[in-house]
Amino acid sequence: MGSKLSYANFSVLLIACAYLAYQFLQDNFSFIYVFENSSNLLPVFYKFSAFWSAHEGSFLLMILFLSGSLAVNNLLFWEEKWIPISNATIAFILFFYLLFQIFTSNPFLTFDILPKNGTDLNPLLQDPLLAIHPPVLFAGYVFYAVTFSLVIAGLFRGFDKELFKNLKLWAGISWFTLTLAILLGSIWAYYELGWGGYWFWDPVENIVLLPWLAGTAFTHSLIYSRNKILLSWMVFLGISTFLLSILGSFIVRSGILNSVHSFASDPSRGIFLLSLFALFAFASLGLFFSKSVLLKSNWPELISKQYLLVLNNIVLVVILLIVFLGTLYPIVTEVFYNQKLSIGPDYFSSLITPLVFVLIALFLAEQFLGYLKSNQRNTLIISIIIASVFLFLFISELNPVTLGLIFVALALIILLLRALVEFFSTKDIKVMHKILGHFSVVLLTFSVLLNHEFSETIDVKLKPGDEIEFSGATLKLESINVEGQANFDSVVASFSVLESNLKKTLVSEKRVYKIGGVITAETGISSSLIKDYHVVLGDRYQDGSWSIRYSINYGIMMIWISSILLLFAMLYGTIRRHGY
Amino acid sequence: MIRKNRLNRIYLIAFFLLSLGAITFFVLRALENNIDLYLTPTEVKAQQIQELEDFKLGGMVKENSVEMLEELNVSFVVTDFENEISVIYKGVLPNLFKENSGVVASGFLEENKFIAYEILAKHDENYMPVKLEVSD
Repeated sequence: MGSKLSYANFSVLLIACAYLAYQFLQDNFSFIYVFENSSNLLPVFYKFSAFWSAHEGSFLLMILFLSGSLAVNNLLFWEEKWIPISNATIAFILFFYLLFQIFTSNPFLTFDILPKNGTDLNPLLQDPLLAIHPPVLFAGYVFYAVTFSLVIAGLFRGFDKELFKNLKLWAGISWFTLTLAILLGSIWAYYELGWGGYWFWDPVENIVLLPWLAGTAFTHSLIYSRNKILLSWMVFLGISTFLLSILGSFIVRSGILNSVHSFASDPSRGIFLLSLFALFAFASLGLFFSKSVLLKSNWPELISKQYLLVLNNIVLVVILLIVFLGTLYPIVTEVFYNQKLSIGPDYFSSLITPLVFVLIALFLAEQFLGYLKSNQRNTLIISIIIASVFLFLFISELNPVTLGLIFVALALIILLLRALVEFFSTKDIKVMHKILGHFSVVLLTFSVLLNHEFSETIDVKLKPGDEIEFSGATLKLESINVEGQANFDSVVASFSVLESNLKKTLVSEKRVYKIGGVITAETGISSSLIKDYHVVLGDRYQDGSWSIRYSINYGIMMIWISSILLLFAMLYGTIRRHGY
Repeated sequence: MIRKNRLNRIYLIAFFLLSLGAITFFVLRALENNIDLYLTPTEVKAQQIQELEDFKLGGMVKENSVEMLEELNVSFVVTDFENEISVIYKGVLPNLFKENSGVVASGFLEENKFIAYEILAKHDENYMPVKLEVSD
């Protein structure tokens, strides 16, 4: 009976979504939501993606995904012992989400008249990457809700082998999806926003990072959950990841954030979501604390994998708290003290970078655990010496970022060598996903540091034909042309970059959207493994010259590559665990 | 044996407390170095001073106030419809920057003019005028 209900629920929601999508495709602007997010000049692909471009539709999509996951769970795992409680939990969540949707965020409201045209989709969203990013993000949140339901089932029925197996599957899928969503957002930011960055510690970005950090610690805690301490961590983190994803929704959709991109501000929504969050928080954490009396625990043995995992969790939680504080502090001061503050990105990077180094040190320790265990005293002495050396160098005038780069590069080499040695001596790498995963995180850290330290930007004023020398390369503005497309007109600027006899072309545009007159700029980027040339067209001057922002960004390709490697490791690890 | 465990426990607790103290210190320091006040023109005027160190000025870009000056300098006026402050910025303005739209500028106040070294254009949800044509 239960499974049939879940299929019915999904079918009905699917019909509702199809109906809304149909209104978009038919240009039915009598629906307020369609009117606000579409226009008759909009390309078909974006008429479809406009469905999830704003609050009401995107929330509906999230509900559809949740319902779909419920149906899939019942389809694949109907026989399992944990299904009843998992179903109940998801149904509970769905129920409140639907209440919220119906009473505060109805996408089916209409005008009494039929407007001839809508106010167009936000041009920033008229981009394929950004069209895909929200659904992937919602999928990530939804999958963590399912994972949460399995954790709750475990709290009631106990965590047996079958539950662990499925928990690992869902945890892996959730983690992969959320990481992919963040990556898509970063890629979009770099290629479209025009500021040459991929992460700005913007509140909306941070809000996704919170469940991601908890999710990372959660996935790791699943490895040794037979250990009581890690079991407690696992349950706590599983609950926290879900709660943080709701908090994320609340903050983004309530308008409390003053960030570069935030949804509509509507107090009733904010209050509803906050209450929802409070409800789920009290219920699940209350359950956790009442049941954890049963999980009596001992500290794991010093210098063991379990111990390193606990340390790993602690560091990740500290990073989480730092991001949490930095994101919520301005909100709290504004709401309670009416004082507006903004916290600069350096707060985050200056605190988190050293902690990432600690994590990398843990990766290294994990690889040489056997050796460390049998030479405890030597290990302690060596680590104290190394720590002092780095501390000394840090305090001295040496650039700390360069120091960090050296440390990370060393870690990279050590990990690579270790893997190669294992491969050549045993013709196989055990736990490949772990080696690859950690390696890609270290590579990512290296690329990020590289990018931060060596990238350069200048603003210049050029006329067609002008050229400038900057950082060993010559940038030339070749031409400026005007073009027209379906729903925008654009000024197209062609550039060339000449560096040691290699010529690259870059094109940057400035677009004016026909409806609403919004102006956007398309960045021109020419990439290679080590660096990107990045150019953004600015404004036109009376004399026909244009202001241009020209950047040389190092390590961008390496950032994407290491992130994709990480995703691959996550996917491989999830699938391999279950012999599919 | 029991004594050894106890000693280890004490070391452990001491280590964690120390780390906690260190982390708190660093966090507070990072906060202090990186918090900027966010003020509207009215709030700046209320301070009644000619000069103010690093902060963020927020408001709307006043219509017809954007002026391209020599080199890459540009000037415009930020208003909150009660007070206004003129801003000078050297560099390329971000895409979302336009008149009658939100803006946040990082910089300092000097002789009642705001010198900006960074401009962030805010993305308003209702950034377009609503045009309604009724079909009969």
